[in-house]
Amino acid sequence: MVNVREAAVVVIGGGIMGCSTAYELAKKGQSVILLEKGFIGAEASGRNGGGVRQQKRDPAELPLAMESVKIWQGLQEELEWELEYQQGGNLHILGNPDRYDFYIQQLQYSLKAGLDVRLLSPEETRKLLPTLRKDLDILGSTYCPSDGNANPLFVSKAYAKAAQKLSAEIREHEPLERLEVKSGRVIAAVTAHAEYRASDFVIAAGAWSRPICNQIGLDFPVEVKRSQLMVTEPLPPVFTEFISADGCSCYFRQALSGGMHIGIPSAPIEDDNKSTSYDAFKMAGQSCLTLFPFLEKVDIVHSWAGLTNWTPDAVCIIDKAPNVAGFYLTAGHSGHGFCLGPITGRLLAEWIVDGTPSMDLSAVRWTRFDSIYL
Amino acid sequence: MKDPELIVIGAGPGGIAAAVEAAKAGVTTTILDENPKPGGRIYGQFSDGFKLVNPKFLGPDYEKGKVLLAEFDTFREKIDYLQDALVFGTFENRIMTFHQAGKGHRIPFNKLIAATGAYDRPVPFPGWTLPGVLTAGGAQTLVKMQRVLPGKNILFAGTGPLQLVVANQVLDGGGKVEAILEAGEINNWLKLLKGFSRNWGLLTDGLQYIRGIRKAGVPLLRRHIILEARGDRQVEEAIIAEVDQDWRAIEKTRRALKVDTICIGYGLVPSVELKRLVGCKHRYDPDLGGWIPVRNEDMETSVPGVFAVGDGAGAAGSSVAMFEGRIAGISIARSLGHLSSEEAAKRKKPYLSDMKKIRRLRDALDRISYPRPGLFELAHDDTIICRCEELTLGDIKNAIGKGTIEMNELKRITRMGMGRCQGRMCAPAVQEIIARQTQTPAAEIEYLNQRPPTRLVPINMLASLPGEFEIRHGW
Amino acid sequence: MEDMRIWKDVERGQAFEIEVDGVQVVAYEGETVAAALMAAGIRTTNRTAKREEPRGVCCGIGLCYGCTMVIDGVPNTRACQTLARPGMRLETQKGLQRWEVAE
Repeated sequence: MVNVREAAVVVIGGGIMGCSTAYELAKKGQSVILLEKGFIGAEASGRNGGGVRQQKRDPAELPLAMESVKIWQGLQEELEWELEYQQGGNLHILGNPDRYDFYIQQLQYSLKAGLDVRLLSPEETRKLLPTLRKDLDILGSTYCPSDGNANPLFVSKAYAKAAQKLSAEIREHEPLERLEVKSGRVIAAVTAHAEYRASDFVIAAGAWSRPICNQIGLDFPVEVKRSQLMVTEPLPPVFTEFISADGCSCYFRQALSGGMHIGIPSAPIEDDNKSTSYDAFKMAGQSCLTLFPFLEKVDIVHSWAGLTNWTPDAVCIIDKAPNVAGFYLTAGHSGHGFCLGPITGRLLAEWIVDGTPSMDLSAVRWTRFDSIYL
Repeated sequence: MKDPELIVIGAGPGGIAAAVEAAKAGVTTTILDENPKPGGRIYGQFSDGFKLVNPKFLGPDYEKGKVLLAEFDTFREKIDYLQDALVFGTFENRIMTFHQAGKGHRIPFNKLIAATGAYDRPVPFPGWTLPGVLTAGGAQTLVKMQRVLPGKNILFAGTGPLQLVVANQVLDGGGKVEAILEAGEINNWLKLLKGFSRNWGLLTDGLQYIRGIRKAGVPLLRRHIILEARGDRQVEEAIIAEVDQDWRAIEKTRRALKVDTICIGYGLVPSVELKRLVGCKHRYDPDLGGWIPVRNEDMETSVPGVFAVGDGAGAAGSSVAMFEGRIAGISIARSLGHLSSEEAAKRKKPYLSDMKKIRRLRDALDRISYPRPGLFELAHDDTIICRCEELTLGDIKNAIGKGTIEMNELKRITRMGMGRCQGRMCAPAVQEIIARQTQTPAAEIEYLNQRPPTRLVPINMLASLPGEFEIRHGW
Repeated sequence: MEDMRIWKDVERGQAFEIEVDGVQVVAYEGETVAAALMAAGIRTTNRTAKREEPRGVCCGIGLCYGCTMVIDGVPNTRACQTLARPGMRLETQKGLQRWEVAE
């Protein structure tokens, strides 16, 4: 006898996207069952650099990011969970004259979109960041004070718990085995435990989304990349900004608990290797000394990696399936999806329940890619 | 310089014996030793500045150590011994990194012997974080190698013969020992030791140590355990009690002892971080200290070319470490073609036979001294479990109670295991806590994911690792 | 100041002074900072960041990070893994401590 369960919506994937979607649906009174292959937030949502960033975004994502930050501002209170979210700013140090114009362009369309970003002179940059190496030759920086960061280890779980409080069912350690399609519609998500039937299905499975879509004859172009991070021993507060530097390989964020997180840029990977590489250690060391001499004798305590899906234009997908009813996808966040978690869940819930999302999602549509039909 | 055929991590009895056998057979061998001089813990040598006048206080281990170190010396030219070299990671394509002399280094490994040793089991009990609570190993390092008494009035609490050695060294050094608490039943292992006539370096001199302790008038309290350390800014008092067979306190026997130092010796936990990182399969064996690598007869782990010997593969003492080291060294020489099968078998034979005999004694001793449930029930809800993050048992139980039952998830939610000790001081205890609360056998509790660095590494040493990266033109 | 050293069966090398929270303490060639402190009866090396609880030497082999102090301006340095040197400056570390940068 097959165990059959029913809900209005089944969400596959327990990261920030899936959990925020489950929560927002539950808020709208929908019955939701979320299926997660491991534990909530175990993958990229719990492994990333923690940046909640609007600046330096493609125009396709910028309005979404700005709307998402409005939700972030009240999120801790709403979910009743300390997320260590702080709007400490995002600072991108400019150093490469060849890329200067590109960043100015980005700054300009961001300003037009209403973002509180500004260009800082080298002196202003140093005033904001006195620990920056004194003899570093910089051109200035782009700075967005309403950007910030949060603790990725908590957010997915906080959303899941809040969803549960509103009667959503969160099922961990239950990987999806297959989807059942009938008459052009997905009718069930099947695991080893049960068959979950719903009118609508949301795929929010990060780097694991593509094979799920393939099951119903759909595809999207992504490359799997590994994002690596390491963290130092706890330090007294040094800066609140999320810091990156043009051309300098690594980014920096000091967590509220004191450790300095050092992020190594994503690189393509063949397998699902979540260990960290020799190169990552070398790069982290060099980047630290290049920018922040005070880190010289500080110890690295841990490292980890996560898997991200990069689309060709590094812009995510938030869309309904073009030819299969009741099937929604959010994927391809290209290493910068964390900020978009809250707004994505809200928009998908609106789309499913109210019939249409409250923001224009044409820039992140699935069909912008060729060959998405298998 | 050509890359070595064999890298040995650790220069204790296991590492040295392995390197010696390998070098004997012509294998190019490098030893990476985190200490300034070979010998590891048990055969550790004095720092420059100290001059040993009379080795008697070092006991029979000193003579054994001398013999082994002398043998090592005869092969010194053939072995590249790197002192103060701390391994902190292994990576794809069998690259290993270590830091030495303020710089990061990389070295490829073909065959690897991990002889990484073990550390004292962390036993959380109320007050265990107070200054004045040391491990028996920590006390031994101070007394033996630094010739400093850890305190004025010392209580030993543990199980097995190891703490008797340290107690004797303290007494020999003029220190005062208030009492020695043995959680188990000493008579059992006395009976055992009497049955084995040869001295295997397993402290069958246990009898001699007990005599020494009795002579000094130090009470040796069988079936007793430490319950609490009390004091304002350091240890001032210890609360102890008699225990039942499961090492659970018999409440009415609870009493206080006025001591300023408590040395805890409830067994050793093998250091397996590097082996786990390299991908060796491990199994949980409480008799041998916890997680240990699965090995074949030649000491090879589940990862081809990676061998594990000594306490780091299961706390079994120095003699076992040496035999295992020799067997591994010979096996590697054979696999590299330096020895024929016949020659290798011939060389291994005496060590295999000795090991069989000693194994029986070891197994029996371990059965007597393995931790009983009461040891994991000493902590109260307000007892610190994760020392680095200052998390209590209550904090951990709370999280588990809310559904966070996996150690890796528990780490993320509570921060347990994120500190500088990288989980060494808390994860062994948390394993048992999860097991109890979820009523799952401890062996089924998945341990913390292992990633580099396996030891803390300063950023400047990472920056100095070989290899160039374009940070930015001009920067 | 008391001396918990064992003088039996060994000879020590040169004696010198190290400074511990402004107070001169004797140490000998080859001693770790931990040994010199324990010998002088000084057992607290730091106070924890959250609960401000005293900690000191525990495992003795550099794994527990209980014996960390500020040594010559560098915080979080393990006393048991650091050899005492003449004129060394030691401070009981109070929680997280700022790193001095030699520019």
